[in-house]
Amino acid sequence: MKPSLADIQSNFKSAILHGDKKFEAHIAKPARGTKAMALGIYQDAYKMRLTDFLSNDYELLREYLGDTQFAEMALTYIAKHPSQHPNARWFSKHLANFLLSYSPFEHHPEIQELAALELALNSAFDAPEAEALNLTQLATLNPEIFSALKLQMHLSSSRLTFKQNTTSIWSALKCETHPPKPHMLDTDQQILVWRQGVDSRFRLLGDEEAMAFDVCKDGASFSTMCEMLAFREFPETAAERAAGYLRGWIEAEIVLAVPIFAANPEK
Amino acid sequence: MKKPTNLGFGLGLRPQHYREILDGNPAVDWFEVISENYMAPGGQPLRMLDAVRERYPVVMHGVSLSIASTAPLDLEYLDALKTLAKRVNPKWISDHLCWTGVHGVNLHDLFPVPYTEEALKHVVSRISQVQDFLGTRIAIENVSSYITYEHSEMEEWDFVAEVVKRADCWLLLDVNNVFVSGFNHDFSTHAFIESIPVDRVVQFHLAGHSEGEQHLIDTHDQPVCEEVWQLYERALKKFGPVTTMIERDDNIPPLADLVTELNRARAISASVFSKAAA
Repeated sequence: MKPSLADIQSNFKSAILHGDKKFEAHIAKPARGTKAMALGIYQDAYKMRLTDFLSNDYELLREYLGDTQFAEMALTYIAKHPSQHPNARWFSKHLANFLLSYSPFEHHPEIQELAALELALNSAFDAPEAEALNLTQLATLNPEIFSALKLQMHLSSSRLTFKQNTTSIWSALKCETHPPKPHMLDTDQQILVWRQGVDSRFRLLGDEEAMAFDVCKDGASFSTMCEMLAFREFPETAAERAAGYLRGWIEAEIVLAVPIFAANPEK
Repeated sequence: MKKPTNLGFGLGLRPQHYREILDGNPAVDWFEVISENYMAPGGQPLRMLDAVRERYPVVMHGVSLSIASTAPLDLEYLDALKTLAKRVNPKWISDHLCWTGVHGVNLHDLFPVPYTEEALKHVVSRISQVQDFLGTRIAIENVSSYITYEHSEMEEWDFVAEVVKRADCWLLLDVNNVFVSGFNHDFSTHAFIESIPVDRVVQFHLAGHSEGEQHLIDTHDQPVCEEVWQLYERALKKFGPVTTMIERDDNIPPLADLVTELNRARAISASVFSKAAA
């Protein structure tokens, strides 16, 4: 009996993913080489193509690990997380989480952090567009109404907290220089990732700015931010510190304009 | 049934060339974009595409429609494709006569189908659904292959010709794919070309390939080879002037090198049609 198209595709898929031999029965006698050889082209291309997707998205991680170690890790990832999306850009999204439980790297937490940093930068790269508030616009707003408005941050912005000297490793790899030895930091490092123009960026934050950003990303207003900073320490300079953070975020183009102008708080 | 206008000689739009294209004025008549690369929420890819679109005609070429898959059509994907098409206003939309996945897994390759009546009906029905959804005729491209199926009932070229006729769609004839598959399966590339209906062909792809142990592999990482140029000349004689592009996806050279290669396509075309006019 002739196999159905669905059976053929199902067996072909199993041959690619698991090396099942059943599919060879569907292959006609080849003009060149053997059936296994022809099928091998597809099997090899699958692993190579998906490894390339990972390599493109985690360029510095590949550099850090070297091609052999990266390829071994990639094959394990490919087996555990087959692509489920027609767009290859989604395939690599689970890698940082996958590395949390990838035993060969369990004593190298900087590897997982490096993947998390590259993922955040990639996500910022093609995050949705939104008009950012600028300082000239800010000057036209009614300060009282503005202070009470919930702030909205650009979707490209995200926060990371690292325990290792991963940002130093990233910077060295980016400059194509030898990365420093990984080590645990004395205190956690707070990082802000975002897109400015078309470029993905990151910078280090102090603990207070990190906390302020986190509450504003969750929709706090400027006045709430001031109150939180005052509660934390030095209440007399809290507003000034908050204004400094806000100015930096506006200059980085990550405070959205639309929710603010929608409330029409102009003077 | 009026074919879309001949766009001339184009290249695939690749990120490595964004700056050169926008800062200069390369002698390229139009660009083909990989649809999936621009199905992103925002950022540089869409901004670059918008800028290129202002200066050049654009055609959208997908790799994940999976028109021959027995999995249900991916409506989320089709919706994203339609949204992108509204933004780009492409001269046409194309994808491949293949399947790329099944059972929720995308294998990200262009797998051939068995050339059977069952597969033919299935593909025709799916192309019709996609064309209805997008509100336009699409172009379907013949793929390279390394296997053929035990139960195929017809030749690839008869299958392709029948698909485009029954589905009332266009054909993107990939000349390199005809050559690669012809070598791998030892068939006559001329028989392939001769069997394709002239009125369906809206675009040619030209590309390079590499040599495997026994097979030619469709890698798009090399210049177009002499045999493919010869087959291109034959295709021009059969189909007349057709929109042509060079596809380069790996080992990507400077834009100027691709423009030089594209100029060879122009020269071959000019030679074919000046002789025809004489």
